[in-house]
Amino acid sequence: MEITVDGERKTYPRPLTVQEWMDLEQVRNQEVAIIHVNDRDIPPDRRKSTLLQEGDRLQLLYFLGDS
Amino acid sequence: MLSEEERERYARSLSILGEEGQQALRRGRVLVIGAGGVGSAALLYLAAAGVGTIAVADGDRVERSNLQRQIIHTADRLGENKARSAARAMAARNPGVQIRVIPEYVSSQTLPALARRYDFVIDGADGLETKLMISDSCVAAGVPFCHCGTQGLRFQVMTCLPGRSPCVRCAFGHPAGSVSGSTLGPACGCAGSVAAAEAIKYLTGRGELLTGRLFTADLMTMESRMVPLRRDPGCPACGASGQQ
Repeated sequence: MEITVDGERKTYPRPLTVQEWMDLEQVRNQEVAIIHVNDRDIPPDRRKSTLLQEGDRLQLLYFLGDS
Repeated sequence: MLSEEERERYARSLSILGEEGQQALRRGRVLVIGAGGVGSAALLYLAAAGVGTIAVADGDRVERSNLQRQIIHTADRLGENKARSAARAMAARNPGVQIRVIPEYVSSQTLPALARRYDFVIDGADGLETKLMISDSCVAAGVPFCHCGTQGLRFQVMTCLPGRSPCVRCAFGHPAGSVSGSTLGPACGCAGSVAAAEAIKYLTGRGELLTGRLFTADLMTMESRMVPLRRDPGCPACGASGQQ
């Protein structure tokens, strides 16, 4: 499966849910991470049920709280 | 018409913005919430650029630990209200701009009415809840604003034209928390500079605003990204079920 992560193409050997992708990539601070798939926010309670599709565009964000 | 003094002061800007653009800046009114690290850079650049009316709201006082990044304040103003301290620095930078001091914290009760008196708002505040409140209040007031965030050497900026482009809630959904702790000065300076540029572009009608996208960068790795954003039809602030 090929998807675009933060603007870069990446290939994975099997289909992944958003949560599986986060674990595979060892995403830090998962409790406050924000995941967009095809420009749409995927809430934390849908990470395990959202299966990434071939060609999806994924963005990993954090809300930066300082100024 | 610009005065001779203004022509001399803004000579380098006039070659980019033209007299019409400079006059638009002189007519412009910008509110900056927070005279911290981001606000410091934004306020100094707005004053230097000749934005006619600049308001600064902050209820905090200058502390020694602020001085490593909040470059608008100085060691001789420790203990002074940050909005007042910032106003002094701006007046020294450009006596030709009108400065309004709001020496208190804004709230969801006060901000919508306050924001309506200005053309553009810059979020230079701390904290997830305050930043969401600023977004919600500006959306409710229908006033364009620039959202900024920093942490470490990272910064990110986006602009919202209420009802026309995604707001902060559209961009971040329902964030469970923020990444915060401490920030190095250059990240604040970058965010504040971008925010000032957004205000200048909005007031003069030049360039392309950071609407529908979030600019995020990390000065540690020098990597940057433009994250595309969409309005969320279900957004509680600006969606069909929201206040717009």
